[in-house]
Amino acid sequence: MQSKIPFGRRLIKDIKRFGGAYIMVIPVVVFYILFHYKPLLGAVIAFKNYQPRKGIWGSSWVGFKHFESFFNSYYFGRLIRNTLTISLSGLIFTFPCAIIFALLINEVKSRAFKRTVQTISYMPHFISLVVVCSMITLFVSSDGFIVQIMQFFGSGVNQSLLNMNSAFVPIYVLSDIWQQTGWNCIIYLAALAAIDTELYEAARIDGANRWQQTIHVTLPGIAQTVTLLLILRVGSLMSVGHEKIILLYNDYTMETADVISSYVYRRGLIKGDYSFSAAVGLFNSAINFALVILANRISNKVNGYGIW
Amino acid sequence: MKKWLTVLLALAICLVPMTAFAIDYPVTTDETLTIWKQLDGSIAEGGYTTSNETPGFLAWEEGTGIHVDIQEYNDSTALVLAVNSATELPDMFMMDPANYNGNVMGMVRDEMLTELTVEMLEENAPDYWAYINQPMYMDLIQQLDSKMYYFAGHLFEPESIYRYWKGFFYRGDILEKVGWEKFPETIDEFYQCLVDLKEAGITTPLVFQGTSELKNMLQYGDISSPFGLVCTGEYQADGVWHFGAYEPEYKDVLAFVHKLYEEGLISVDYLSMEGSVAQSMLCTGEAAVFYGNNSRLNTFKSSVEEGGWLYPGAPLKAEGAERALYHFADPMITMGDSTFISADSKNPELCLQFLNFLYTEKGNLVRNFGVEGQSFEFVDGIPRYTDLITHNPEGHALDGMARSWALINWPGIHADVMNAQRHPEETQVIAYELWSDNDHDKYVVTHTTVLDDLIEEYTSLWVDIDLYINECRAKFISGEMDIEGEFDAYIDHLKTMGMDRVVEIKQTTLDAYNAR
Repeated sequence: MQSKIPFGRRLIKDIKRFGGAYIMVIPVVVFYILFHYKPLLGAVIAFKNYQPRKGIWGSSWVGFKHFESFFNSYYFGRLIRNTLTISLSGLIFTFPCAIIFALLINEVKSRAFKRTVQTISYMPHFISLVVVCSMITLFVSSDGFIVQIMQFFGSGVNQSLLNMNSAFVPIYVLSDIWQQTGWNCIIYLAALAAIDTELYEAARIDGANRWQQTIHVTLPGIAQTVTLLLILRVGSLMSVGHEKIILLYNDYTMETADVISSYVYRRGLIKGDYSFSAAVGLFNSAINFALVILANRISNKVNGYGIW
Repeated sequence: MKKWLTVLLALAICLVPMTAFAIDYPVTTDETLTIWKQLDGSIAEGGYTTSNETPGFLAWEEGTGIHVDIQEYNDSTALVLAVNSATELPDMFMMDPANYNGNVMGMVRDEMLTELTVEMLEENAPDYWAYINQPMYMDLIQQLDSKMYYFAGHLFEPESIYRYWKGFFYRGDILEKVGWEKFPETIDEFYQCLVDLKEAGITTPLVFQGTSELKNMLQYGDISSPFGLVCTGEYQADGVWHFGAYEPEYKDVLAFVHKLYEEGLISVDYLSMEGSVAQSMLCTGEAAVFYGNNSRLNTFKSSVEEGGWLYPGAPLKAEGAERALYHFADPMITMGDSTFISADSKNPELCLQFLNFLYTEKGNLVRNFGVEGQSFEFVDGIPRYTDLITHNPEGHALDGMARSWALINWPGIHADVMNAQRHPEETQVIAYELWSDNDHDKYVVTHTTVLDDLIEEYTSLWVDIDLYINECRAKFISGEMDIEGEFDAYIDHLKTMGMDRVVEIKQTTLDAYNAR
């Protein structure tokens, strides 16, 4: 019945009914229009030889020159490989940690202990990345406590782990887990809180123990949230931020540490070649976009639901 | 020493006013000029958050009669972004052109600048023109098209030693204990000294100020020049452009540094060891040789363990050589505070008059010392910072106070007599004298760009080549790449990456530069 009422009338009615909510959403909409949609027009500089004084539309067209320059770069293959390695490692190891941590916290009965653990686990999220990277550098140096522990257990390592190609990705991922798990689990804790307690009661009446309750009630209860976040995460597979990378890498670990964003930072931003940066950004976004669609389609097929 | 400084100051001041035109300051104008620049964070030490309020800048405005609004950006990236995205540029902007795509000529290509003709300078900046119109400055100011586009950043006096502010210094007390009665002068002595220190129980004899400092040490020629290689970066010899890491002598340099690494004379963590850790090692005696900035000779003094003292060492030379081949030095003109008059400025003449003031006798004093009676006084005819600057009652650091009360972070002559007072330790002055004893200016490549039509090709080649050279250097030093077995392959690989074309582009640019 409702669908026969014209959209305009429905909207007016809805605004009258939920006026406060509509007012609250205005800043969000404005934010997205200004900072996420309007700049899309600027992506056109990827196909131009952008000269600031001539502006975006006054600069000359160069077609796919900047894309070709990136694809022909000597290190193109390595950049893609490193980006995907770090990104997928994060997806495989960092992503589930927050879920497991949320499930563990959910099982804790002492309210005080629960709150304390949560607060402590959030803390690293608020530490500046520069400070975190300095801490990592000290911890994994040749006389840092991590290398000393490794030596105690018979490891032959006698130098900073940041000078070892094979250690860069584990350092990156493990420090991410330490810094972000507490923060990332908030959304799962919210989802867990929304699960109807009657379901647990019914499961207990049916004789389910704690583990069975987790498997058959808790996990299905947060499955949609997990799927949603997983699809979004897949949509940023090609995007590994340059900040942490450039704070941790050195000449020796470029082999495994140099990613697309750090390359763009060096070539595009420091040298002021904005068109090149835009071309690489556009290339990344195109792949990320395709991955989101693919992940969503798979989810729809397998689970019967997706983001859309 | 004092006499010598006095002579230099007198020379600097006398050179200034011998001109046909002269500006009658203060000028009469209602106009307000605008300038964009990067914030100098150290003015906070003097209690200021913006240069608009500093006594030095107010004295400049008062001296010229011209009001200027400063818009400051927290870092160079923010400033470059602002310049890049401006629909209308301010009258002036102070920026290192190396941060702009294509350097100065890139800005010319993008029609951002007002060209500064000789006529304009003679008429509106006569004191500046009289000072810079000599080859050592014009070489840097004149661009590849033989034109001038910026008002030079701070420049050193012709024979200034204060350009040479980086080098080795030693824990003199530890060297004495180990039996060294003099500081190493040759590369062999240097190596032996490090070995003796190691044998005496010094954990890591040589440490560096920061993670990229070993690379700098090589690029500035400190280790390479004793091996007959000027430096591992770019240099020119008799009009021929070279890149040290592409020369055969580079192999010997790498072998030497690898030896230091293998024998534990430098830290295995040198690529990730932060400066604060290195500083602590030097001060506690875990290290005894430091490669870093002159200012550290002063700042480390209070942290060094009891009985410890620091002393600078001369740039290293080859056995039998009279002096070092090459050593780090700032160019005669520092580009970071180059001031550009934008194409949008409606009154470039007034901008020049404003800037020119810093080259007048009065302006030179304001620039280097600030306000007479407050931040400086004349003692025996020489301007001297007062205690407000040197021993601030509220404990503010000398540098921050000098930057607030004077204009030493702005264009102008960076007077030796001022520099001498900014470096209170005797060892700091000795360091400058020692470190300036080399042939830097004979080999240095002064221009930082390539010809406009070659920039794109050069950038796309150089980004990858530079990375490859950096990676290989680290691998050769650590031993992951065998110097004897793989050095030739390294050179061949550089050829396949297009290094010969880079050399060709750089040579073409150097030829064009020399032919101006």
